[in-house]
Amino acid sequence: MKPFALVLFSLLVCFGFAQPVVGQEKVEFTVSELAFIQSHGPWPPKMEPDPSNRFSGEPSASAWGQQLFQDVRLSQAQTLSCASCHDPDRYFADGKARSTGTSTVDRNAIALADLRLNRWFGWAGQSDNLWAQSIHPILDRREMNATVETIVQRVRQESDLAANYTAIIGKGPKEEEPLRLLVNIAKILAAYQETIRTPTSAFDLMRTRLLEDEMISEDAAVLAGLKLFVGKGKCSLCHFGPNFTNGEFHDIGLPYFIESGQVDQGRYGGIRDLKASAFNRLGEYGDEPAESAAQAPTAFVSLQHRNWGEFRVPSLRNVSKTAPYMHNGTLASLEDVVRHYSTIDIERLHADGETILKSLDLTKQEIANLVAFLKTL
Amino acid sequence: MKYKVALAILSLSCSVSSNAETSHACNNETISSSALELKQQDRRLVITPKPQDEPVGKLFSLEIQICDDDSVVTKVKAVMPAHGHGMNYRPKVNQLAEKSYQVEGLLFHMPGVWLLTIETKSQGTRTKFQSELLIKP
Ligand code: HEC
Ligand code: HEC
Repeated sequence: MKPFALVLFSLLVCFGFAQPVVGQEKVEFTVSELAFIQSHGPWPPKMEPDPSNRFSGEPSASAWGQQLFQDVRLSQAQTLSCASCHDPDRYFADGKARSTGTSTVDRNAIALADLRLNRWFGWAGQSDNLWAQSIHPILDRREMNATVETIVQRVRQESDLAANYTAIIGKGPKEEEPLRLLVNIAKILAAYQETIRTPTSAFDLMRTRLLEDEMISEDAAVLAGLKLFVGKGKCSLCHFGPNFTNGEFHDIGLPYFIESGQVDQGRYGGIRDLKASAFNRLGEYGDEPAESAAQAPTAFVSLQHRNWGEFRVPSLRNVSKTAPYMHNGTLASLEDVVRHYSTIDIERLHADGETILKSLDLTKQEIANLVAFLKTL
Repeated sequence: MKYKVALAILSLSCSVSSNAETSHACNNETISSSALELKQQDRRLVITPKPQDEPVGKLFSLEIQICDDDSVVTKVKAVMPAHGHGMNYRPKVNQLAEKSYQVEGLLFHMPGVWLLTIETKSQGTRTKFQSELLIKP
């Protein structure tokens, strides 16, 4: 047995030192809670270019990508752009429970940010890379409803699009095979979206002060909320790390009926779509070397029955600005979210086996504290 | 205060033995600090995670060195007994050389205790090695 293992284990079970707290209530953190607080930073983490996208990190590509993101010519009826549902003035979400394209879709628009940290894209992780995820809305009947032919025709015929294509891709759109042309447009969109970042948050600054023992007059409610988040609430187990997500999929007991008896399969459908997609990292459209693609998570992910009704753990950065919440937008406010966790009925979990969640039975004050903490992210 | 992220080992079955010395990784003098020895009766193997730090939420590999006999690795899995779930990934076991394996595609998506199971087979004898790994946040 290695000696350091014993030391670490005993650290986990014993209590840490008291933190100096200004204000009426005194909040103390255990060593385990402090370790979780430490793991929620530093911010921002290093973000490397996407190996599957040769335009990733290219300023000229991302500049054109920003224009395309607002360009309604990527929709069939020339009425919708990416920004229609990912509005830059709304933190790249749309504020609706479920988005509306040509008709209402099943899910809530995800606020786009810090996308290089994603292992999976979409609420069900149907894509393993950003450009593949960017193709979905263009072709989806209920979103932009375009066809490959429409996109090819527009890029070939509209002079500004053709000129940018030739300059940045290095090949005229008329010489390009249709699917490759669509993929390249998506890669340009991805190069832009990767540049959308969340800033250093009030939490990040507090975390540094806390770990360096330089606490100033911290808000007692925020500290108490943080303690709940990393402690009794077990929020940090799933909302793990600097981006407040472990990047994986869980069932937190939300209804997954859409309407008219239809269900959202969640991760189960996501894995099936992912594996069937020609645009995943194991396919021929990515730009990374075969050895790198072979290490993509898609090569190892396994479809399990419990994936039914599981959805991706969302990042909580900027969360107070991106209501409503959850994959179907059914919870209107952060108070509603915290109340959901407080009164969760574990009998309603669709996936069996998971035993992390239990109703927390929080007091009014505790709910307010947890919400105050979430607002610092 | 500084918290080192490490694969910390709880299992008491990992005491260092003094006999049987077949390969570099199995040699007690040269066993690396990130490696872990698993024993089951008179059988022994040594595992080394790669990369060795920050294991939560990242794909990683394990190198397995069989120490005592001609066993082959048949299965590798990991579960979190306290939460009732396993990994969301199915690792692939590749043989690198005789008695030497690489397991790719492991991902511990939460900190906490993971029970790692490695099964081997030798001339009809199946051996199950298990170890609890405490994955720090
Ligand atoms: C009709 C509204 C709508 C339009 C238009 C739209 N999106 Fe989305 N977007 C959504 C919804 C809803 C989701 C969640 C989808 C899901 O989980 O299935 C989403 C998810 C995403 C994600 C996943 C983010 C993450 O963190 O996983 C990306 C990336 C994205 N959209 C990019 C785009 C791009 C690029 C365009 C334009 C080509 C676009 N979207 C157009 C509604 C829209
Ligand atoms: C078992 C894993 C797990 C735990 C524990 C957990 N969450 Fe979540 N959280 C999720 C998942 C999965 C979703 C998305 C569910 C969905 O849309 O169906 C989510 C969604 C959220 C959202 C909505 C974010 C958005 O953008 O829509 C908030 C806020 C949130 N959780 C806060 C918390 C808090 C606070 C705690 C602790 C009391 C907590 N979570 C504990 C997995 C977890």
